[in-house]
Amino acid sequence: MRVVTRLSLVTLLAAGVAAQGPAVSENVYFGDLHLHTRYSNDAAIFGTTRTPDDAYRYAKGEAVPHVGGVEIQLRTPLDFLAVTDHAENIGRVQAGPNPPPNLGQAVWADIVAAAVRHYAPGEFTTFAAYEWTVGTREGNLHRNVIFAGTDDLPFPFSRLDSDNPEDLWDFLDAQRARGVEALAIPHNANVSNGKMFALVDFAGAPMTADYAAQRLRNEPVVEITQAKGTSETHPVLSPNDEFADFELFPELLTANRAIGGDGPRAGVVRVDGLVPGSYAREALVNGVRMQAEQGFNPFQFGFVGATDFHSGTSAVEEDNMTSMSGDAVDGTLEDRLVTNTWSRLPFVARSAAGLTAAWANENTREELYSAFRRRETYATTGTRITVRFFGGWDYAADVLDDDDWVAQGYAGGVPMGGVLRGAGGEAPTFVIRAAKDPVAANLDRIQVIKGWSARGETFERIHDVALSDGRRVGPTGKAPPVGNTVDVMRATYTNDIGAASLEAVWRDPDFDPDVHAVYYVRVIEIPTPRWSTYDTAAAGLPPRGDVMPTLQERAYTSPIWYMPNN
Amino acid sequence: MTASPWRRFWREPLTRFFAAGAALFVLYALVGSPAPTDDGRIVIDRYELETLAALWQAQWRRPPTRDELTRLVVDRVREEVLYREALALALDENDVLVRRRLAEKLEMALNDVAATAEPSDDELRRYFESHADRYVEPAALTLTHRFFSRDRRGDSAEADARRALESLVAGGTADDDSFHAAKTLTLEDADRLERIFGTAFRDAVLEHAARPGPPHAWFGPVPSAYGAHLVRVDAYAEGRPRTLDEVRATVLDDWRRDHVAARESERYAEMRARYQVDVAPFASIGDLVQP
Repeated sequence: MRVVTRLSLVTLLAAGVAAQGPAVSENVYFGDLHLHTRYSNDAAIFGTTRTPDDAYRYAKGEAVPHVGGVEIQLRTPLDFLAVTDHAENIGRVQAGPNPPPNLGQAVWADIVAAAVRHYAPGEFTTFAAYEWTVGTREGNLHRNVIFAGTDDLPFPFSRLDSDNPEDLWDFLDAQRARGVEALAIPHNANVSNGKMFALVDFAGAPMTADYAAQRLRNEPVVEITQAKGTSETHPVLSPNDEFADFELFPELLTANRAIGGDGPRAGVVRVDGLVPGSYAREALVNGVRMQAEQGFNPFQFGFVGATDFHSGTSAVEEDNMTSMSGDAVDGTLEDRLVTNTWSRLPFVARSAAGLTAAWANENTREELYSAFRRRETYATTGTRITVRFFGGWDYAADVLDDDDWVAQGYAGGVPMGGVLRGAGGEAPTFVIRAAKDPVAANLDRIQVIKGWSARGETFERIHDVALSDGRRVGPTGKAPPVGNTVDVMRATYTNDIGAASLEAVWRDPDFDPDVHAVYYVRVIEIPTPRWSTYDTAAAGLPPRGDVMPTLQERAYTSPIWYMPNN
Repeated sequence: MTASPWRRFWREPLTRFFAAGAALFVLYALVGSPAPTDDGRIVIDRYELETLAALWQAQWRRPPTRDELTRLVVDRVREEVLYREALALALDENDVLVRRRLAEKLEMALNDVAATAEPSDDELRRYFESHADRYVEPAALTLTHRFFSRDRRGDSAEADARRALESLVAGGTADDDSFHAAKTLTLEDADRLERIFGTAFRDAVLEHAARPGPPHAWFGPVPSAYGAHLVRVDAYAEGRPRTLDEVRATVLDDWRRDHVAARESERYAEMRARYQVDVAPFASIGDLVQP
């Protein structure tokens, strides 16, 4: 009985909000939209035996068994999870010899059934999902397909059907036409060898307005932080960005080529991949340029984060990272501290990242999916920073002093993911507020990253709009670093530096009403120990020399776009 | 400078050899091997080909070419020949990797049998009743708070909060700071206070809310990750046990999971009972064990 009363209260509140004006999203929910279980062939090879059931239980905060007879558990449970196993020959390796002829269908049914079973509206949300795993010899084009519901789902359209993302979009459009809603989330653009955000279509032809519309209809958000590195930007593309060198994955997944010799691994050579076309910030700015020059923008996407762990556990907490790749290969401290023979890279190069944050009113599939669609999301590297980002022309300079500043944020403009259209030539005002993860590290700064294009060229500029500890931007345009309290031998830090929350009401000093622009927010924490440093400290060893012992976790909001009126 | 024993251990070529061997072993054991035949025949059937191709794809993200598949088959046959010759020489005996892997395989087989079991209604109810604490609806609450920011006020945040409490108690207002989340919150699971305000705040507020006494009274200051708060609990509902019908699917799921584990221990106990185990006294290895 009480359940019914509670739900109707929430419904009434939501209705009240809707009646007053723009849709206000009251809460932020954190989850993982990319996780593999034993049904992914590579995960099964890496010794992962966890099922989608196990993955959901762990995400909800239950303890699950781990190698060596220990139990592992998240300190802060997730609000939502999508199990995204590789669709190609799904479940084949874990099934062992002589699988039944309908193995794929049975496995997919099990994945969907687990999503149905673990969905608890208001408490925990699941998504039926899979990974479309296209890596051609030229570069990775992986996408996760996330379904809005669990009824009447098709069998996954996989790489075995087509390795052209446009065919995947056709498939998703066809599903939509018959009432089955889904979206695709590209990931690991950083190892796409310039293919993910190439300025031509899959066949190499110029993009068209129809192409852009189909792409945006099916891919509203892009995953930019996960175990295999950051896809936000790269020092080569952003030489003036002192934070661009963050958890970069140093190698292309698919640019290794086999040449001649005996045996499958003979004569493998590494081919350095292209950086341009492989990072989201550059794509956002190219999109703005195309909007200005051609009237369409194929890269008007928001940001999400995920783990891509292959262990069936979204163990995203740096000091509680128990396995990323699979229990048999990196499930123990000993495994993780040595170079593993399965990987061309030591596991230590991988990141304990990331999470998707979605603004919504309730933790339900409908509410969260709708947040992904309207890009009211942000990516974090695993931390739970809260960040709001509004843009508009109707904000008072002291709006953040008011208790109803969020309502004013929605009423006076658009939230992250929104588009501003030119109004009278004045610069828009951005209202930004960030609060630390209440059980983690303080904040260093808030930055606004602006991209624009003029005379066929693209530009980016980074503004430090809020700094902790009374620091100011100096004459060089840079702020002094926040400092570092990390004891790398013990893997500890203190919150004696940084701020619990930061905020800014900011106007772009270089605003030009005739220029298309894109703005997004990056919130940066003070330095804390990297997961590998917690490992070495636990083993009584000094930090490893091949990775940074500390990191500055961060959040990246979906952008707000400015479009001139004409 | 001397390297730690740990590092030396991992630098040992033998250690690395075994680590590499373990990884390969896990791979091949997981995907199985062709049905062993004692007549000197090695059969690479359709399923085996499929497995080889799937493994290749998992590694290279594309299917193998015909040439590549041929090489995989040649390697697979070579491995099978060596494997059978090794068995003939009894090289599998006293091998820690072989032993561990076979033990794991049997464990998994036991799990799979138990995972398909169905409980009777009575059995499920008994299970539900003996694990009732797992199926509790959490406490819910609505609270209103006033916020005194440590970033803005520094060390005086708490003193400012104390002064404001006097004013609120006297029916006045509090000159507080704006907060990044709402000032009035309804939480279906009161435990989530930790995710908004931090651990100390959650603990203090839940302790207060559970205490008998008049509701709607301001109290504080309560510390959070952001500063000091004055809090008023507007509504509080204790957690309560759910009925079996509300949570049947979850209970069934949990029962299966526990059933698998229980069957596994039972089967192990049965097998274990067939052996007599003799362990030498620890003292016999001297200082290889810590006193």
